[in-house]
Amino acid sequence: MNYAALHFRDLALSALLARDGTPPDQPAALLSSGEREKSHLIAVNLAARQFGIQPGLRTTRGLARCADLLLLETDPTAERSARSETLAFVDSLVPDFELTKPETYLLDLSTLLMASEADWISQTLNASKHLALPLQIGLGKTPDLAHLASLSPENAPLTLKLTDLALAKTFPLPHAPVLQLWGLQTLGDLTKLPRQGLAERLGKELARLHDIAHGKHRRLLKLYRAQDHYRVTHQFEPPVESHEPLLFMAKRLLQTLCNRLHHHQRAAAELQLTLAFDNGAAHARKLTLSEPTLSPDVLLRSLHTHLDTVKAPAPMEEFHLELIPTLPRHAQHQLFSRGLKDPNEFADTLRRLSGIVGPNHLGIPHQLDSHRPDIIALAPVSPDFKTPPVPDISSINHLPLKRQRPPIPINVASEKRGRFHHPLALLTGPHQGQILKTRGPFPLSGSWWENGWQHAQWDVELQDSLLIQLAFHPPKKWQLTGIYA
Amino acid sequence: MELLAKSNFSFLRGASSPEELISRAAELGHQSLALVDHMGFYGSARAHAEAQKVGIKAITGATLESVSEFHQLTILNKSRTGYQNLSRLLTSLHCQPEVDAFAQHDLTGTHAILTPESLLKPTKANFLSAAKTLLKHFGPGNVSIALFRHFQRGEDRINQLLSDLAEFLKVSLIASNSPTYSQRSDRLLADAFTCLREHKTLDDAGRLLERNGERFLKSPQAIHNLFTDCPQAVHNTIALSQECSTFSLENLGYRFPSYQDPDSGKLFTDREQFEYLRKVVKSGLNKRFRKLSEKHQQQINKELLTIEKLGFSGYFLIVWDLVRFARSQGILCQGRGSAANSLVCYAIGVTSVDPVESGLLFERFLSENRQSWPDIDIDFPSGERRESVIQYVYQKYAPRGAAMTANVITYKPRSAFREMSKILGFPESIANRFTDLCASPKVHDASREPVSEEISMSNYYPGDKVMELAGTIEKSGIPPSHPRFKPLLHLYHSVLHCPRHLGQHSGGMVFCDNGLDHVVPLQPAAMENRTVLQWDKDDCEDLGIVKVDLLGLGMLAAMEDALKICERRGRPVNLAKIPKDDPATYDLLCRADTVGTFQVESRAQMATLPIMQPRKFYDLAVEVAIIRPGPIVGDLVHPYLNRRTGREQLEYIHPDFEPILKRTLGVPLFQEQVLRMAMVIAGFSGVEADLLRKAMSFKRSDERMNAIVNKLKTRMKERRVSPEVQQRVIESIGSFALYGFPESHAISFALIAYASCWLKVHRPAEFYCGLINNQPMGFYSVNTLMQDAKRHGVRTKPISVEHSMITTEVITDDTLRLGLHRLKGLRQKTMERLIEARSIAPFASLDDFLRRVRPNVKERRLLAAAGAFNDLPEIEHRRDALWQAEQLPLDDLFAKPSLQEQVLEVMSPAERLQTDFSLVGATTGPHPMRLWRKEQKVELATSASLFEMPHGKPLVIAGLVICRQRPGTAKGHCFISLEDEFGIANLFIPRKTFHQFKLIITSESFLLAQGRLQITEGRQPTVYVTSLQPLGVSGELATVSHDFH
Repeated sequence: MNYAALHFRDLALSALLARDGTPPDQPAALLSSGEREKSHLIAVNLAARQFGIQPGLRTTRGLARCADLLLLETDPTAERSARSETLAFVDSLVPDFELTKPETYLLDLSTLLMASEADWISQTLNASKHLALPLQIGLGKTPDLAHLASLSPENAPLTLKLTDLALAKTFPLPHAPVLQLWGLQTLGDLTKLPRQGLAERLGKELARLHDIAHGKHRRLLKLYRAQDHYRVTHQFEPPVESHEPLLFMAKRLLQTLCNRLHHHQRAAAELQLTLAFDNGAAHARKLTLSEPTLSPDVLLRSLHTHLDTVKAPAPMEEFHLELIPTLPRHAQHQLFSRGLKDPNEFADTLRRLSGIVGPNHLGIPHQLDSHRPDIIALAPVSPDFKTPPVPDISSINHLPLKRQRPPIPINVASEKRGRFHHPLALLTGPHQGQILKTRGPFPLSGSWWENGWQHAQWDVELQDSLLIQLAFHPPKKWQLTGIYA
Repeated sequence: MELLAKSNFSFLRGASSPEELISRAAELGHQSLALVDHMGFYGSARAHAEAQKVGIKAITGATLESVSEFHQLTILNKSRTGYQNLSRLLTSLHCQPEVDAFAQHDLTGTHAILTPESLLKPTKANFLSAAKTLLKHFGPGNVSIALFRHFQRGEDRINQLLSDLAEFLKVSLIASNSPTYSQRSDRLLADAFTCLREHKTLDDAGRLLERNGERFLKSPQAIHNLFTDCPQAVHNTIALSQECSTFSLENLGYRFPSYQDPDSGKLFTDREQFEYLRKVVKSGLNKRFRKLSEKHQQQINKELLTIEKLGFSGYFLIVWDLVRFARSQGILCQGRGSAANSLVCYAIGVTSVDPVESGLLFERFLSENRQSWPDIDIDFPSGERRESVIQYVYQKYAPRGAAMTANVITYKPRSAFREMSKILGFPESIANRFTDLCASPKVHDASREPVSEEISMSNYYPGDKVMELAGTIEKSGIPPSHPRFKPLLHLYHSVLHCPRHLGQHSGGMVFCDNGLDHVVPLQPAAMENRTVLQWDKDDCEDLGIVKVDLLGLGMLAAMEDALKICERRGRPVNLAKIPKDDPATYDLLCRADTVGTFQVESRAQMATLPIMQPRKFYDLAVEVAIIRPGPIVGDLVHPYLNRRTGREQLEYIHPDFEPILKRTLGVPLFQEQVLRMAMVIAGFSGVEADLLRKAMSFKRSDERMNAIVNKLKTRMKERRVSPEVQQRVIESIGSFALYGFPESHAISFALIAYASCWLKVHRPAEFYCGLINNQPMGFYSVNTLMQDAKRHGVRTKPISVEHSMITTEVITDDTLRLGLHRLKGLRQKTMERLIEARSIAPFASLDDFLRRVRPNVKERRLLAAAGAFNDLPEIEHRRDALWQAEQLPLDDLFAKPSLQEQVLEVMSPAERLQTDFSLVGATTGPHPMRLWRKEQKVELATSASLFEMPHGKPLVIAGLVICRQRPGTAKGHCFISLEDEFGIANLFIPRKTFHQFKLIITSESFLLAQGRLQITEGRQPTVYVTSLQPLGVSGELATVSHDFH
């Protein structure tokens, strides 16, 4: 057999059970998202199946059949961790394999020396024990046959032979309603039907499945390349106290990583840097690149810029560099709307600015859609300088207002008339004096459902025709918020 | 003097109810308040009622949207003509939006108000043009310009502009705060409604929300203070409100239509109507009675005199006309409710009960003391036949002379929580959880609730006891520490019971012979060719608008079908002439063999029938009445049955009640009895008794009920009635306030129940056929009906393309053929093509069928899998048909028919069963339990063997669940009907066991129950269940059960 398929059954559920050390005889099931009473079971373990619980069953029915059924909700973190473990495991078995599905791998065994298939299966199962995940192995002369073999509902490794397929009746069929009406339960049932009759009735897909089952369909594996290929580590002996040795080494290592990327027709989208210092401290940073690149110089420049902003607490012992791969960008500049000539240089500049003003203090200001005056947020800067749509906040006042940012707290002599405090004179602040004329109040309030705010605005006229905008914040805070020109 | 208030009947544009606005206005010292709801008079009837209560004037008006150049335009009514004109205009805008609002309508008596919000672009030129348009159409003196002061920047500029405009055009200025809520705190709900209207969350709504909370109803003094610089505006407002106050909804101008002379087409005068009615009654009596007894003669004279005095002749004639039309179309119909108390109704064919013979009280239906119109509800067969009667009314009073009454859909706990949590940005899953947590208010634990002495709807399903709100919200996933917990709680309470949208009443119709649209605006209903008016039935009743209920009854449709089949088969049945003392029919009732019949087929009815042992018609009327929530709440069922079986002595609460309660063995079962009890014990007058009746049937509020009960208590105290008797009288009334039956109604229903039982006994094939063709209806699924038919010797043949018609047909007295309509997914057009093709020539082969009928691939599979092709030549079995039908025939002239190889295996019985249930919802094959039993080694009890077992015997029984019930009155116990191949077994699951096996009970279709036999009263075996488990029936059957209704 040339191909093997490793199928980690119900990986999402098994990962949770393995994480929690749940014994295998504990019936357990994974819930669909949403309300529990309305949810259904998306995966069940073998122990649960013995109670007649099947995936797709409503949760309430599952609980009715087995009161001890352990109900688990999906945990993407545990699932990711299990996937990376299975990936590492498969990578340790063969150089060439395909990640067919998150829980299924197709392995090319042609380059492997083995005593017998049974030995290899036995060794593989032994080696997988540390994962604590149920594993099914299928062998086949074509990748798809191996895949089918691994999907056998029987919990045993299987070497697929055509005769077995027809007899064993163990391979489930895709969920096609018509196949159920035909009374077909397994792939074995399907293989018994005449191919031509099947193709005439149900089309190419079922005919292809028929061909796969009869070993008449061959395809190439889409080989998987692990991201580890783009990660390097260097240790300094002895630890270094400046950046120059790091940059010197990084230049060479980045060249190697970029060559690898190029070889796999990928480009770097992100550079991840981790520094370890001899006092135990560490520094980690993701440097997102403005556009995917294969240039070691661009990467080195980003690294250099960033290192200029880092203060080392102790001599540096070790550093790791990792490039996150993506598809290279193939785009032309538009004739009339040119992008940045060198987005990476721009990103470099932003990084320098961010180092100076702080990471959360750089962006494009834009006004928020609210009745609350002068409320502004920062939008991140992108190479195309796109900002969120600005709400149409056209001022009803025809006079331009010079805003005080931040508003100036002042003392105001006031008098309460009705519900509002009416200002009489400004006692402190840059513009003091008696108020000659007022317009207002203009009470404003909002966000009452969370951190509510309210204040009342006043337009007042002082001597020399000075027009000022005041805000009264209950219970007694006055602010000078602007001066009309 | 506030002229521009909007209530929550502006649907998402106002946050307070009309009642709140009016009562607040009265509190603040307003003399009047104009309600100008969005595009209608929706809240005006309620505002009018509240205004009458608090002593101010409710002015009617409306705010039009997108009319001419106006974004919003407020129009007030100055007179009845104005009201009628605006009502017509609103109807046109709803029903014909393309109509020119101003040019094609008379606007006399209306007054337009241009507001700062009237235009989308409030510029000087636009305002000028808009004001000129208004002056042109409404005329000088009928246009005002309103100024608003909401403390907003820029409004002074607009106000100045409008003031200048008013001066320039010599138009009066008015002052308003244009409130959309009564109190400042309601601003929160107003913001929430804005979000719902704009489909946004509060976080995203931005400046769509209010700038501040100033849009509340302000006092006259506050308005004065706001407009100190413009006192003339305030003065004008007062003047205009006084002018508009001259009209109120009391002077609506509604008149019930007069009957039209069938010969000349002219409308009859009152005198002519009465004479005509007398003629119709006389002719009807001649048909009903060979010779009229003295008692009947006296009664008819008395009734006609009352009808003449009250001027209701036209009403009776119009109802008679409806019934006559229905009968002319072969549509069964029967009046229900208190109309059965009237001999006139019996004579003109509206009801089928002789009230004199049944001893029914005419005063319950109509009396000179009563100021309201009589209430006649008529049952028609549900579906198309009822619709044809409704359309007849629409056409008769066209155009715009008839409409359905509205049904105001309000925010209920689940919808309130869902929408408020949505606008607060909570995920939908939280609302789902909340919905599930308060899923069934009827299954709350009744034993934990303290008994309340107050008589109230909320005591029956007490909202606050069904769930503790804060706790439920917390369980739904929002902790009390969440910053939005309190806002959610507040919004939930604010929005609860607020109107959400307008639906249509199930059958209430209002009509008028000179255009209903001048009485109340009409708008298109969701159903085609129907219009609905903007008030609900209570509003209509309050304003004296007469409603006739044209209700749909599935059983009437089934019986009508059965009668037609009987006639077709040469065994016609006249329901009016079937003997009322048929022993076979009463035998069926006594043994509770009532699956499929009307009213007496429920589990509770079937349990009572063997105890009741009905042997005459009145027994059946009592049976229909006693299994109702009212008598159950009042704990009145058992005393009646105990007295009937002689285990309890007769007792009449008070000796004076003996003549009233004698027929029901001293137990007050009917509404009429309760009213007469109140008249006897508390000296209630006819008017007071009528108020009590109204309070008992008025579900909108408890206020009326409490008021009349207090009056009753006081009167009884005055008459020195003993406290014990007082208490028992109050309790009797309490139980009837919920769902009490009038005696006449029980008798009307008993007539249909009896007829359905008679048909089941004497025309079983036709009866079951009628039922199957009119599903869904009743308690039981088609499969249960087919199983019941089988037990009564009527077998059902499967669907066949060679033999089946569209509907199920009777082949012989003991055979039915399932119709194609039972196949889920077979299109009507395909069915019609099939019947047409077959009528030309029988199908020679499957290819012939596919060529001529042209079903799509889904239908081909459906027919093949259901075995409908099995009768075709060369089709061996269902799977053979599936294989062959999957490929369309080749149009090759030279192709030779090839012998088909048998590729697929034959379906097993279990597979056939599964397919039948999923495609047809029933099987004509063996019962699933028979198949299951074949595979078992242990012999279990069956529904049939229960009758042979002794009381207390431990047993295990298995079956298909066809009905699960856990009524709120059953103290948490659960009842299950379990069907097997022999019949139906009744399970009783005590509360504790129910909680232990709740999931199994609610989710499994097949159950295996362990327990012991209890022989209850009437020798009915019931299994007292101690343990339950799911039955291992292979495959999932798509069974249907009647659950927790």
